[in-house]
Amino acid sequence: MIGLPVRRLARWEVALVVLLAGEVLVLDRLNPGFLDLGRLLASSSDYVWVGIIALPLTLVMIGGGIDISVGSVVSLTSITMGMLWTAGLNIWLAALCGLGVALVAGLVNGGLIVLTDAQPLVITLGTLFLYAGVAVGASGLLGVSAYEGISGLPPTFVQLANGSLLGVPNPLLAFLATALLAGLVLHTTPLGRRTRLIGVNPRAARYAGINVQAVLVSTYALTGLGAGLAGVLLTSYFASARADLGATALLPVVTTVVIGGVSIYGGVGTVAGVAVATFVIGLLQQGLRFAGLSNDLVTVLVGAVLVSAAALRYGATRLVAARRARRVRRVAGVPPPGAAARVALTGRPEVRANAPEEARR
Amino acid sequence: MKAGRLLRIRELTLLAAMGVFAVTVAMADNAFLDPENLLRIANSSVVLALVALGSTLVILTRNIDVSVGSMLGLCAAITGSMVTDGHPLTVVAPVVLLVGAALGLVNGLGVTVAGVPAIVMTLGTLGAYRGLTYIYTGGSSIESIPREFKTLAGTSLAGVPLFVWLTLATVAVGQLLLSRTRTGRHVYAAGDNAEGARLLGINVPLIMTAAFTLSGVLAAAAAMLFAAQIGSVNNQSGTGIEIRAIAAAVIGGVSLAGGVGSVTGAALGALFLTAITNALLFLAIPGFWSDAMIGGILLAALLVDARLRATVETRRTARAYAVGPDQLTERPASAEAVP
Repeated sequence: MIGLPVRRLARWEVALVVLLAGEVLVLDRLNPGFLDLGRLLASSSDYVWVGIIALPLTLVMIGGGIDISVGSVVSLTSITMGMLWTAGLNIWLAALCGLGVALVAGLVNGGLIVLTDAQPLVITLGTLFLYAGVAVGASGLLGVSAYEGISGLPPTFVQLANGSLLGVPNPLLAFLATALLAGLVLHTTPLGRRTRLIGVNPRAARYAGINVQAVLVSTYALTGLGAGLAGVLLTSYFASARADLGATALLPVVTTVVIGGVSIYGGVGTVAGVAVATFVIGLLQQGLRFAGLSNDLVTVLVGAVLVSAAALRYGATRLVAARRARRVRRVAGVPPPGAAARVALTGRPEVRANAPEEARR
Repeated sequence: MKAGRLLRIRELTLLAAMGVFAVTVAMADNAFLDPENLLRIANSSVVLALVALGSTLVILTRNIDVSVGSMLGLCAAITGSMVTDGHPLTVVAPVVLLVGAALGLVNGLGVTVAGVPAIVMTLGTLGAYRGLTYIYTGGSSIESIPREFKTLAGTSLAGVPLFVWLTLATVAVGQLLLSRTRTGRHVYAAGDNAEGARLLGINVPLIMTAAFTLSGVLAAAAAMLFAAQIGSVNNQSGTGIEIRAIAAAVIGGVSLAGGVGSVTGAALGALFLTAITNALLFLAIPGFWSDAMIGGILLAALLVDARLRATVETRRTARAYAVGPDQLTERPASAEAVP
């Protein structure tokens, strides 16, 4: 029984890899020449930043939280860098300060969440406004037009996201490093194990003597850092620091985490799944555009893919759980329980179906 | 009873906060409190208020709807093109409201039938509906909305804009339905404890589907007011309003944990957010600070709210154990810790 969830999860990751392979084949059929390694590598810079944010966000979501302020942190990082550079600071130092601000933003998110005990969604909704507002305000103070941003950044810095090492673009390298780090943290360190336990059952985690607050704050801080790194890379990639750089980042990032198999209710998910999902979505968007579909149609299709993947995943979980519950009842000779033991963990009807899944862990 | 009292306090606290805010701004420039300006604030808050009303319905069932902005955009585009084509309002309004209902129904069925978590489902449709808007409009904006439609926005009854009356009526009806009818109470029950509600014989999936559908209808209604007020519709119309609507609900005392809050609170929240943006003018603060202000006020409200809740909780526990609050060594982690 204990092996089961692991196997089921493994299947989701395998399904993703199969999906990715099928997708690449179909896209290659749609537009010959799509499967060109050099082209694929070069174009990865357009979307790997999504993964750089999604990977640490995976930690937060496995811990049962969510951070919807990531896009604002991207903008805040970018505009901080731009301002400091305009003020005469070395661009690399400015980038470092940008990362520092992102880290602080993440710490503030986590700190406010553990301090108020309020829902992470509400708190990060507040900071979403706050960070984006401060970014826009700061750029307004400088008299920077929101649509042009601060341009003219030094070529050496622009090279950061546009250059490559041994044929591998730097953003992809940054993504791989982030994935490796996130994987190590989640799957091999106490921090990762504790995060998962908190996601499964916060009270059990507390009674187990885990410093829940410290663990949660760390995951939000890491997410802030990830968003900061993405902010620095995007600033370099577009060669301009803008206050609205991350304005549209939230949707692809959350989509990636969810398609990657992380449960929105916490406790379930792997870094590998999210890493693969980054390419599933990134390549899908690119391939469809390459095939001549308009951006608008691509948005519709990506939204549809998100919904169907989630329906598949949650629908399957429900079916499996319902069947298991029936079997357990039959074996135990218990009549169908009117009062399911698990009353509203999340207050949603499928919780009943999820309950056996929890019991298995 | 407890929840009821807390609820009333929430809306009263918001009113008090709005009062303090208004007086503070008026000290800088008392033109802020001119009836003319107050009406202007009310008039520019109607779109947000209607959207927030729909979001609140969904949030009360312990779900969330982040697709309202995209639904508003699509419905505004349909409104714009239909009135431009010369269709009378008696045709346009039912069609647009039906479209909104259909869009909301898709969300609801995705959540209740397919079992997709609400935030994932509506994030998906946020993208999809926005894409549909682009496809529908072909990427161009609708500028030539006929004058007779736009004049609706300037119409006043007894000195108050028609749209404000309409919004007030909608809020009043929503408030009555939610607090005085059986179905309305079922909405709260479903959000407070879905399993318990089911055991009481409440059709929880039906309630949730209805909430999402109504959220679509209200977004469609807001879209028509939007098209009339702004006088043009582009592909970006309504982007970001979902976040503002949720913020309005939260400031208005609606709990994202479901089952707590009222549409009156959410409407007041929408009014407050609009007042903040408007007040920047009088405080001579550049408009681009409005998001930072909203974020700051939202967070402050959450901090105060958490402090209040903790105090109430400690008192309650203390009463349950018949000891003084100071004798409790640790405050309970949450309400369910209390026996």
